[in-house]
Amino acid sequence: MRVLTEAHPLAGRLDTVAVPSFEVVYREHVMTVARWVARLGGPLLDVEDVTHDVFVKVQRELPKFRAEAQLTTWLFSLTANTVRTRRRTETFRRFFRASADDGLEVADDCRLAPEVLEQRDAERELYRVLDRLSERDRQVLVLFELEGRSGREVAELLQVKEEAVFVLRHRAKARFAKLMAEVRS
Amino acid sequence: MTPEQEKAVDALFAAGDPGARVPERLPQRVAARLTERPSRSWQVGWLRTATVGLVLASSAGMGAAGVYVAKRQLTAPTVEVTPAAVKSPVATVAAAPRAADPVALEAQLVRQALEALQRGDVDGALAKLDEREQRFPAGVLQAEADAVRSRCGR
Repeated sequence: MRVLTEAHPLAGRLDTVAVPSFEVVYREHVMTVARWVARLGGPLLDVEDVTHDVFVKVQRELPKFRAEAQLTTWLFSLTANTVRTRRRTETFRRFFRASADDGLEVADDCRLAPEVLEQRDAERELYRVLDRLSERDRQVLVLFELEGRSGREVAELLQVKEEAVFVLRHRAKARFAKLMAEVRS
Repeated sequence: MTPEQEKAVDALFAAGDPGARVPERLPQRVAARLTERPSRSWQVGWLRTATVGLVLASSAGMGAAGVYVAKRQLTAPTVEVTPAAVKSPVATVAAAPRAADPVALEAQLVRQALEALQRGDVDGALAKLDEREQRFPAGVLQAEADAVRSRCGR
């Protein structure tokens, strides 16, 4: 942890604020960020590659972080922006490559046991619906339904009021159910 | 949303969570990439963008140049060609016989003989007629050459 001292220009104003070093942020948050990337991006994205991109940005932007927001909120916003950009690029690339698959890698080092195949089928179906939702609905559902976070945590990450977040969840879920029925039919 | 629908949604979220597939060794792999080269994909991305931008810009430039040239050709002022301007080069061409045309050369020799005779240079006229006879023994202007020779009186 790098604690601001008296010599720092902001020491007088933010004397209690501690700015963590990149190593600390990386060690403590890399898996959280990787899961956000996997869940927000879906099967279309390479989790390792996008996580790397997020931490390149963290490395660049961390000195400017002034702890006006929570570190996790800042990291989530950085991750969501990176994932959104990469999804757009990937969609564009796939459009020109005319790839027939949904982005799921079949050949990797995992054993393709029946349960793995089932999990991938469910994943494909889940993202076929999520891809048709708005970015905000997607984020709300990922944080509530996949991450299992509390209303307070989701409100903090999305920077909205706690009461509003439940309304957002209810609406997003209703839209998801409607689209799921459409996709299944 | 009916309770059945809600159940189906919950079941799908529970079954299709990709977060469970994040490999445990991912932190080490990303850390290795960050230390070896801070932003490889960023650089590749920018290189690709720069190349595409360059290609697009050059295509646009070439297209614009083509349009400019075509437009200039369409709007270029027309030069009025006067008869005098056309006449002189045509006349020059007619006066200068083409080397490959034997009739023209023969005619030139006969004409030069006639001109010499008109100047009073009988020897010059006869020299030209001899030259014609030597170069074109079976020339098509034999009658004309004989007519000039008879006027020379020799």
